[in-house]
Amino acid sequence: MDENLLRELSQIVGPERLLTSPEDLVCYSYDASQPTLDQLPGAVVDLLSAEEVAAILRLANRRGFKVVPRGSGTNLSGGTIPLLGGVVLNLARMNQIIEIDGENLTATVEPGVITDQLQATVAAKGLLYPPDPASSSVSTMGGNVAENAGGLRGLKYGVTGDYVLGLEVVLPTGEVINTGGKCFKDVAGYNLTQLFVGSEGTLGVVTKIIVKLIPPPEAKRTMLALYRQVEDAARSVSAIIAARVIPSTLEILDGTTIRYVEEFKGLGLPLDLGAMLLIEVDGPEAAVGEEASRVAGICHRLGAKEVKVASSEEEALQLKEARKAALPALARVRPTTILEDVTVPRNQIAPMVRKVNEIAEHHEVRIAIFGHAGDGNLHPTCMTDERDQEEMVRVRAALSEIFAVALKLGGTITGEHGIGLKKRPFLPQAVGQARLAAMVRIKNALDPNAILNPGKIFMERDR
Amino acid sequence: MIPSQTYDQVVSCMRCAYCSPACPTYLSLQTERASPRGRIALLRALVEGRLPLSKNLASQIYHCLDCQLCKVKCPGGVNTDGIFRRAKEILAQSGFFPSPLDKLRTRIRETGNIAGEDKETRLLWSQDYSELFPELVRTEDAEVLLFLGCVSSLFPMVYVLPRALIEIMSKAGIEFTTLGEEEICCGYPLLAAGLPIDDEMEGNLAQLKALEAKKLVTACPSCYHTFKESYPDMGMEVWHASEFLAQLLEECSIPLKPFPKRVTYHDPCDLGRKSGVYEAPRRILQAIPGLELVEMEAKRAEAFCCGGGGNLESIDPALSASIADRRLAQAQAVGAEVIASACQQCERTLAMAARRAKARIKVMDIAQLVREAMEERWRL
Repeated sequence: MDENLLRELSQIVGPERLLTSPEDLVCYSYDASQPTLDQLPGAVVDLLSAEEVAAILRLANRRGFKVVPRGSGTNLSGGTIPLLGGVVLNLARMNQIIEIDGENLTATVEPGVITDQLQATVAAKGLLYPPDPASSSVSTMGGNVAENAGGLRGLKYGVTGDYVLGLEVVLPTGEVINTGGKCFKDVAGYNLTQLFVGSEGTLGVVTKIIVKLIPPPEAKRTMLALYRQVEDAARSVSAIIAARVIPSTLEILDGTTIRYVEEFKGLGLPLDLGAMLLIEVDGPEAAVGEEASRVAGICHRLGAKEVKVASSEEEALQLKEARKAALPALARVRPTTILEDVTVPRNQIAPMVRKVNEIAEHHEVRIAIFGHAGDGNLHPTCMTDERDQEEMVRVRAALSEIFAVALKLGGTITGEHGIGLKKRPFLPQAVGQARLAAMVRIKNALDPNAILNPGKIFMERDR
Repeated sequence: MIPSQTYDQVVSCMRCAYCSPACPTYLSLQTERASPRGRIALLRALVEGRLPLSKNLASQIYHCLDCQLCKVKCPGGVNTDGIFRRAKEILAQSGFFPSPLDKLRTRIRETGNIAGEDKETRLLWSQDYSELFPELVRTEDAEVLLFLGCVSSLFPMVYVLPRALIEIMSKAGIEFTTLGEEEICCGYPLLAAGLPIDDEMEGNLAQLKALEAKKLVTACPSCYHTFKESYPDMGMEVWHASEFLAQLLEECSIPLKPFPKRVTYHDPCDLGRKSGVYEAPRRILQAIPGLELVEMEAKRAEAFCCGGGGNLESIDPALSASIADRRLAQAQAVGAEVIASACQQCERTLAMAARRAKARIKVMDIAQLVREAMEERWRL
């Protein structure tokens, strides 16, 4: 990067927080997306305040360099890869929990706060922040907002965006704005808060977040249902919800995943299973027992080979073991693990699983499926080796077909991982030209010089 | 340069970063290069020719404490310790080696110990005991050969450990001896630096075999781990002092008086996570009447390093200290009055952290605790 530019960056953050060594640049050239697509930034700055973010964005507009905001870099979409170089804004050190407001039931945090830390802090005060992405031990709240992260509790409790009440955002042109606030009702103008939620760091840099909190449920009950046929599991999912029970967790593992889990953990699972459901209901103590027996009854009636209901916390942990081992089991199979993300309407889960199996077989690639069945959100997980060019051609073909099938079944190409770099080619197909054009107009209006997280969400040809 | 097996492991890193919030150096420095994910990415860039070998790169790898908590946290089962060990070997062979480690290597080669002291000083800790225990030095056919390690032999702050051990063993009627001034460094710090330990191994093995002891009991978890993992079959059982003491307390009736304190146990990485010894030290603590054992949140396989792992203390003492401070705070969070451990290095770093924080918390070895609780003691 240009020496003068580095000097100007250093004037904003000081030399200690400007990283330019080749080693530091390598360390900010990636995120958790696979296959890898590392791109070096020109510099990395560790930021401590919205004022510093604003100063850098103003400089970027003036001097024409690109800027990529980043938390812990755990996204699966390539969202924080500095595709066109430029400066990585490391927001991980803006990690203060500013306030837990017990009267309004809100929390105000900086973007670098780790999701688990917020959850633990509010739990100590007898409150719950429900969004629980799998990466919550390391993901940042800023990243969760930017990706509108979901998680296991999405069906009953919703996703990150459902809890965001207000934001402080630095616009790409350097102005600092506040959207929303602690009011649970606010229709003063456009809902800019929700515009920034899920914008993947392309419309602004979030520097403060106000989220709502809820009282935690009194009790929960965990169940595991084993099926020979994936269709029976899928019908159970729909039937449970049709019976007016909204489980807090309703997870599915397909037969392939179950067999890899069994190989890895030896839990004693039958190897002829087509699917399993991990179900958790929560609520008042009096209600969960009754709901659990209704759920168990439905699973039995719809062909479950076996239904286990945990009678203690220890048994609940045992039932959760297979779901917990899903990714670890799959990740051990081959060097590269591509964790994909599609969503279909709940009643299309079985056809989607069948189709993925067919596609995998046709292209001779290994794909197992697990996911959040209650949301129709599935994670077809491809086990491959990114160094094998020939195999990667087949992997890419299979994944494209999977996205097309999801769309055909009335679904979408991503439920919670975002578009980023990896899924840009498929966005026009998913949203249509007119909607895509509207998105591009919003992007261009807010970021006229195209400095903020360029190359994400949209292909160059779409802009 | 990096074998294909290691490269496969490097590529297997999914970069999920589940390791990062567990890594002591990352927590202190809050920058990607100090995380296991970052270190693996650096090695991958090196192997793929995207990054040259440099002092800075070597420094990031040598900053790893080898505490191996990342390996426990990795959902993909990546053999992180194997990757970093191999990387250090390659860096050492290529001459990219932090200068404090160069000095450490010279000290060990010249004096046989990490402190660079004359070998004659190796028994200073036992000065007051030599009349009581004439069998202390190289007695043949003793049941137990006590291998004390450099830290307990040469750092006066922890002399209390070998003294406690011999007092307890003697009370229990165990015949024991030591290599005396002929004991040399087991080689652990060299291994941790990616260097071979043939000389150290040869020297110790010759001495050990000559004495024909049945059991080798090590006071130091790092020596224990090195003997178990890196030495060839030694023809004798290898025990860590905590395992030996636990059995001793259960088999011999050593009367113990109450020690009414709230005690937490810090699992040393080399003894716990890396050697699987979790129960023996806890059994000892539970055998002491009146002692209340409270566990820290990060315990057993998920215990947090004291900052003294690997060679970090030689390379970056301030960073090592900040990690010890964090571990101390974890013990304070559960209201412990005493931090017990079974490793002299952990005890040193944690005691220094307690002193820095002016904390009213005592750091003790479990052997020292047993000795305090013994009804009859030698009065010297």
